[in-house]
Amino acid sequence: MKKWLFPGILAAALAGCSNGPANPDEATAPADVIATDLEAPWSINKQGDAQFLFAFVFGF
Amino acid sequence: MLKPDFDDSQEAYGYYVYEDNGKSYNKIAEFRLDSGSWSETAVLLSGIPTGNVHHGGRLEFSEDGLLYATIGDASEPDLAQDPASVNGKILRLNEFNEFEIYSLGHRNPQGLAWDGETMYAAEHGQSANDEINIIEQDANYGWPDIEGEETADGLEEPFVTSGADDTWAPSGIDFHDGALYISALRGTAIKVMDPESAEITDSIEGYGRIRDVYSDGNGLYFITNNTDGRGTPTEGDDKLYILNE
Repeated sequence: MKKWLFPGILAAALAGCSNGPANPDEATAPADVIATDLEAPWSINKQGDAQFLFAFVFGF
Repeated sequence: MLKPDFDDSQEAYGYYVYEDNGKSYNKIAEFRLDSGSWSETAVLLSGIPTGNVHHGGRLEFSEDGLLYATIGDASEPDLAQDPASVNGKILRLNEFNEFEIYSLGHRNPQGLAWDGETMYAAEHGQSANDEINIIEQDANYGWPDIEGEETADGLEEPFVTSGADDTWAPSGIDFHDGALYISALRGTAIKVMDPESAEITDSIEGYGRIRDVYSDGNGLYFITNNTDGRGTPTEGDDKLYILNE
């Protein structure tokens, strides 16, 4: 019983992690990838071509 | 943010950090694309105070073509109620380098979208209490005096809040097929809100931190932000997606 203490704590910590599964195989709605390896932070430009990206600044 | 007449003008607006005499500031500037290269052609507003966090900078055009900018409180909450400061405000700007404070009392507004003439803004709460607000000119949205479900005379309550126990960290928002799509960073989801009932009707998950969403009227695009130091990047991050509907 005791030997599972650490993995149990780790699993609990991961469950509480804010990031969740970043895996499209586990996605609740399917989506197609248009572009990869984009540097953060990026914003989708909302005039015209959605594939045109423009950097912006945020703290959060 | 490309100008509405970008096809003809090849011009856009941007919001970025710059240094002056060893201090950091933000700037809203105009850019022009020429032979594949961008150059800065004008400054609309400079000297915007920065902070360690929440000092930027969503730019959006309303449907009547006016430019709006969100500016966070730069970690100095009282600035959001100071009419002499642009921090903690939503600004409206014009091409003559003039701006006005459109609304105040914002902590960290990162999303702007319009449903017809109705303006919506997404804002991060201090701890949970994230907000979707309907923005009215000259209205005061309460930070730091109230947040989330708190109320006070003369201060606007949010249209929707995540509540005191849930964190979305909402960034970009946009309308698509009559629903408001809300990108959530810490919430690692796209929240879908019915603007009639103000209910969250869906939560699209599995892509990590979502920075922005965009509808071109046909498809719904979204972009991840897993490489910003707060996420768990997977191969190929960050990615731009189109939702299969």
